[in-house]
Amino acid sequence: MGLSGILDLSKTALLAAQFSMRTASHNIANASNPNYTRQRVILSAGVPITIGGNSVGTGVRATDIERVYDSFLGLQIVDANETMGRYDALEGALSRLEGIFNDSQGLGLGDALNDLFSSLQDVSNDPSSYSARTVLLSKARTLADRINDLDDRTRKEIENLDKQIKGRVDEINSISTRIASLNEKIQLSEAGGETANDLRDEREGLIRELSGKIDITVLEGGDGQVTILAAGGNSIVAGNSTTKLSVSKDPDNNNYYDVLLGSRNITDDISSGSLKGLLDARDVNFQDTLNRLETLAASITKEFNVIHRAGYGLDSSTGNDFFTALSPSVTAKSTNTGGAAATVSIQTLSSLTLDEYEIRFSSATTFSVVNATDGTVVSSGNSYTSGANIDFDGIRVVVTDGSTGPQPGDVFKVSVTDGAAQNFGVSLTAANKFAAAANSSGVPGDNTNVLSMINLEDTNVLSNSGATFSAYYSSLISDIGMASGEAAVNRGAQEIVLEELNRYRSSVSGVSLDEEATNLLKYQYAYEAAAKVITVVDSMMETIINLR
Amino acid sequence: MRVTNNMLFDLLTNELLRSNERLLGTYETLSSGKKVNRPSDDPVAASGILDYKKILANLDQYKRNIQFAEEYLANTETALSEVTNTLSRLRELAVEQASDSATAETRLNASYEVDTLFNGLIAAGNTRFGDRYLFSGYLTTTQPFDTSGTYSGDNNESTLKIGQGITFTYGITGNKIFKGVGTTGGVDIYTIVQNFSTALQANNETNIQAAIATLDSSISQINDIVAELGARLNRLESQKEVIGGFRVEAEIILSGMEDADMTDVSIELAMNQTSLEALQLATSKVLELNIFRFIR
Repeated sequence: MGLSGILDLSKTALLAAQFSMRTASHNIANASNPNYTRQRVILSAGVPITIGGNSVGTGVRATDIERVYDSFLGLQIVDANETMGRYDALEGALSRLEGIFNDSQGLGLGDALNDLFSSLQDVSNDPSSYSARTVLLSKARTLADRINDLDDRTRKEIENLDKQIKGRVDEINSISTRIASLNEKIQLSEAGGETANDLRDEREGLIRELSGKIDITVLEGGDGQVTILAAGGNSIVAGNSTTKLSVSKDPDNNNYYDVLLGSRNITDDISSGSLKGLLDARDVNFQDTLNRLETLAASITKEFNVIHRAGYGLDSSTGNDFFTALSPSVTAKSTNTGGAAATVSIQTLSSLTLDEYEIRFSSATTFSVVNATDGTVVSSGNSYTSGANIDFDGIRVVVTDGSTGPQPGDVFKVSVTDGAAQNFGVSLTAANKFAAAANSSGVPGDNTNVLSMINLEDTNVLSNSGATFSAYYSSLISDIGMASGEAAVNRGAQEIVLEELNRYRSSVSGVSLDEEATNLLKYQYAYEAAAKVITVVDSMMETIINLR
Repeated sequence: MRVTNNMLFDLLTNELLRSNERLLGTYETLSSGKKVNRPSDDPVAASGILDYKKILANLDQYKRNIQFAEEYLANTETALSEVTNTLSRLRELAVEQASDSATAETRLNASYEVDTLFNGLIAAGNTRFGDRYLFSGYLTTTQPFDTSGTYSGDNNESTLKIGQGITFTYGITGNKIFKGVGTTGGVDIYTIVQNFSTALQANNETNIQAAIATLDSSISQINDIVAELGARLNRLESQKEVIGGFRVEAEIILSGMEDADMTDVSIELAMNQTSLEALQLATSKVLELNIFRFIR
């Protein structure tokens, strides 16, 4: 080995310093890129050669540029992101729900209900007063407005949640497509043995984004490609191919969207991410709120109408409804195989329980009527005839053969509360028809019937919960507040967990400008030292060349 | 721990956001004066607030009902005090005309006054409160007495609620007051006065003397009813006090659940402001710390 060998050696030092400088600059350039993983040049000594029995070094080589990365932390962040996405979506939805039901401004249903009962008392004090009766009708209409408004806003919000669910599904599909294409690129560029650092950063960023939307499991294969399983084991990305999620309206769940993977319904498999938060908000919190609002509206309608129909107006009219009559509904389940259709009507208003019922056919002729709210069988028959009356709890259902009769397994759902809040209104238009009197006609000062209505205020009329109208409503408000508060607390706690994990990640993988600056100085000195060596070798060579 | 630039930025950003969120919460409490601005602020209190608002609405309504009953009873009393005055004058006439000094002529003249007073009694029986007759039972739009004193109302007495589960009867029928129906030993005042007039016209001294006793019964019948009215008014008065007490209590409980303690909120506001300012200052200082400033 001669002097030129030393020049070669110095060249490796210059190159390594340049290489390191370049990586430091790359790190500095990406200092604020949240997905970036800092890179580090792995330097190793050149393969030594043996000269005269001595092993002599041959300089330095940049063997690899590696990402400084903790893969376990990556998995933890994916998990924490899923939970965060779920609580974040839930909290957002529930805070809008409690915005709808916020009575603290004094414009809520509670006040409208109080006002209605106050105006009933005014009518009771002076039953023949036309003005007291007119005020009563207007207060009843205000209550109807409030209930309609709450119903409308809750339904709009459910629609909005449904749209968001579809939006999330579209986003998930777009992310999985991008991950699949990165899979392919990474496989190609790593075929030579080096690591595709920046492509991997980009893919990890997308995986983190995906984990905020749905629960996923990430499996890395030997070729650098990842397989992603979503919603408990359903593959959505495998190599460079994806399986798309889609939505379809579920006729047995108010025509809200179900989430499908291919043709499989995975709605119930989704366990985390914002999709889960949105599904829970829609199917649990909002639906429950809507159901309870409808039960309340149906109960008010039923109780007032039962009493009002029995009373007499100033014009001797009787049998009138005060609130718009309940309209019961019967729907054949979408899974029914028979061609039978059903109609429903109310026979005895006072016998209604406001529970949900199912008429279940176990054969073409045998059926049972089940109270779906408490599970009891309220009626059954073993000789179904097309067009015959099926009567139970004040309700009459008539099942009629269509193309065929009912088949085993067919179910008809019966509800008197469906749409009760939407349809809630004041049926009575003329103030003098308000039935304040309990006894026969022509008694303007009789307030016995209106007193019965006033007594409803303190009667536990909502049979299932043993509550008065106002207690039922205030427990609804309290439950909404509780759910919203809980979601906010969970979200806040999860936010801190995620921040902590991101901080760890940032600590391991993030760029420290101070560190890079000192590295720059280090590489600069290394470069200068190598250059100095070259100068020295140069002068040594000159010395040799100038020997005479 | 290795501290990186993103860590610092994230930490400071998150803390600034949280600090601003806390400050917003304090502003909201301060501007609304309420500590429960949405159900989730305190779900139990939110439900309690609704319950107490209902209780207050009820108490206010009971107060209005009591006021209505008081006015009604006051009108009843006025009408009855007129009746008492009239009956006293009639008794005076009976005593005068029953004496030996009375002649057929004075008795005939007195009978004219009695007839006028009789019409006054009928008018009292037909007293109205607003557009409803006071004394016709539930038939509030039917004139209870015709010119001869025949009753056309019914025997129902109007009631209203003056408290939870407390029904108060405020109506008294003309049949009870003037005809004595439904009271033991009740007398028909109109018939008594008519008989008195007839006796005067007929110069029948025995019947005129008998009228003194029957008029006494009439006066005591009205006095009994006036005493009963007094008792009813007392009951209203005491119930009003009870409701007033409840109301104060309910207001205090509601305020305890709903209203923010302004001193606490102001202190909290000052604290949150100070901590936000400190954080902002720290942020500007920390971000200045950077080795690049020193490398030339």
